[in-house]
Amino acid sequence: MNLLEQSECKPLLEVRGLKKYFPIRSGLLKKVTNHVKAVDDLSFTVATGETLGIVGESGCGKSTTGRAILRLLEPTGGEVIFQGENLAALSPNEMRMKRKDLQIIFQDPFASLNPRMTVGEIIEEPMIIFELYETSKERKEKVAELMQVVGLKSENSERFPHEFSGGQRQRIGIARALALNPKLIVADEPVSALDVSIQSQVLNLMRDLQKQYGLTYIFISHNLSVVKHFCDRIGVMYLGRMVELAPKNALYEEPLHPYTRSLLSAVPIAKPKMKRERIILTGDVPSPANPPSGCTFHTRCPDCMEICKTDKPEFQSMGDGRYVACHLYNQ
Amino acid sequence: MLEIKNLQTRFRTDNGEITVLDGVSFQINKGETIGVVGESGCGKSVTSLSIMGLLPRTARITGGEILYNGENLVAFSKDQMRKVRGKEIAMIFQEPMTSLNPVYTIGAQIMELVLNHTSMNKKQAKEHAIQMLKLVGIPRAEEIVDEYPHQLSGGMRQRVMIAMAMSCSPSLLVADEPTTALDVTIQAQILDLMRELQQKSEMTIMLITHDLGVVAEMCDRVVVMYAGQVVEEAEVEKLFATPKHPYTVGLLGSIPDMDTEQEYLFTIGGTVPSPGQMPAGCRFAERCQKAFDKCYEQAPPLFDLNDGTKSRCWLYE
Repeated sequence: MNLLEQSECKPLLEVRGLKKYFPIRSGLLKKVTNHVKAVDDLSFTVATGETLGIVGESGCGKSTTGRAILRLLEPTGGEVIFQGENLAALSPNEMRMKRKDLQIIFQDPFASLNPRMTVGEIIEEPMIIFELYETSKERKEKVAELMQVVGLKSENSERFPHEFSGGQRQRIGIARALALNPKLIVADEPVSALDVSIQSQVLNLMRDLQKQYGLTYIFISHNLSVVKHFCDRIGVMYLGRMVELAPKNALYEEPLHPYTRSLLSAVPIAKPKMKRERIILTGDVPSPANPPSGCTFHTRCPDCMEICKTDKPEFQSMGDGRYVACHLYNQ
Repeated sequence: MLEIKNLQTRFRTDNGEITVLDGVSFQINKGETIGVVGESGCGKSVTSLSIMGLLPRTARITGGEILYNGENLVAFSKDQMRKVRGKEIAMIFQEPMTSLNPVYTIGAQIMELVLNHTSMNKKQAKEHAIQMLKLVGIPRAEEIVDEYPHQLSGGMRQRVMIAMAMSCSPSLLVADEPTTALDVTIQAQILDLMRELQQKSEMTIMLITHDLGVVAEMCDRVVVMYAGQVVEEAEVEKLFATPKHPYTVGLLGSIPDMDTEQEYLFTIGGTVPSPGQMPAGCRFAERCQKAFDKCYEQAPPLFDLNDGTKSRCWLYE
């Protein structure tokens, strides 16, 4: 199956020019003086059944992207087209009904589960809200089934979240997301808080569920080896913009954007004494409130040219499903 | 240089005392970088706090010795320990945000250490602080020295922590997850800096981390901990090439490999036993695919395999 072709013929989700600006207020009257451009003009598509990875360092806007797609944060501009319908234009009530198809798994399994509800209640709640089943008995059966699917004992449904370990809590979060049979799941750093041995359990579970239910994932992570393992296509973000988007093997074998190159070379690899060239970036990520002119990466870029300081590079297609925003490829 | 012998550390809890470190032994040789790896709760941080004499009030060392150049640190008084800490053995912590004092300038925090441990006067100490900041690659060191921690980014704060730790030229640096809170590109900068400083000053580093990639890049020797015990000790290349203990094998198998395609990752089933309820036999037996009867009945000792490798597993009896 060629995921690329598939993504071009019938995307499940299409993001066009998505923007999310956070106002900065200052002074006595709290006037809006500037904006943090957390997500600035982002466009990509997600095909049915694929996993799109979004990577980048802290503050690059990857989580904001996930939330703006689901309208957990109202987008400042752009369109989010899900099955032919623009989510950004729906009324809050219509959007709420849409969330049946679009679910999210959060990073912190400690903060995203209500500590006063039992696990059974947590998983059942979405079914009550969307009136999925007629009787409480049917719902309870579904809860038990979901708990088994994610590898929890169904007799533990009367327990509270604090009685479970981090990995088990993440499984609860996954069961809750699955309760409504969603089509798309945004997974925002789902394994970052977990130890490696638990991380592999959760990743395997997510892959099983994808096969079983035909799920589509947007997988947000800062961990490049996890993303390589789990995703079909990967988008790299820097300071609110996507700098490169490519099928995973192409991206890891031949990264085009200088930022992608240095990011990949910075990952420590569990192979001692392996020789490789490392590109160490100097300096820190600039503030998104006051991003550099032209290409936002030019202040740290090893291949910076004059044009990079003044002109913003277009996010252009390089063929084979690859996209890059860099003046190096403008000839 | 540092030898930990059969160290036992216990914590007081509402349900009585629990043993968090149970018979931890390993040694650190001069000039090497030793990695201590393991998952959350395995006791790697408690080991480092025991060495530093920085255990919380609810914890105490109930057995064993920590020999530093032949002297037992466990028997040291608070005053004696204060003379060692910072001067002989320095530590950097995971959270550069919380381990710097927000109400003192960066210079004042470095100077405090220098004034306590050396005969420098204030002016010399400030000069020294600026030098240290330059050494760890902080731009505008003359100005930064009078700034407060909140004015710096995470990577810069970790550099300040390293400058502080290095300011009295310690012979051993204990680094507890020094790059875990940082982004990969910043992590690469900090690891590079640590390597460079080590070459310059012939310092010994004990690096505590859960990231096997960092271990592979930084360390000469590795100690793997599980549930409060050392389960394997080996040279770094041997550990990655031929891991001996089933837990190490599982741990290495669980990390996604960037070079090969795998549909599913290897997993270690189950979870770590809680410190209050350790099984009688091997602590890993419940999750081990190779476990046999003896594993459930008798706790294995740390077997010496005679090539610098040690493994706490009955398979190597």
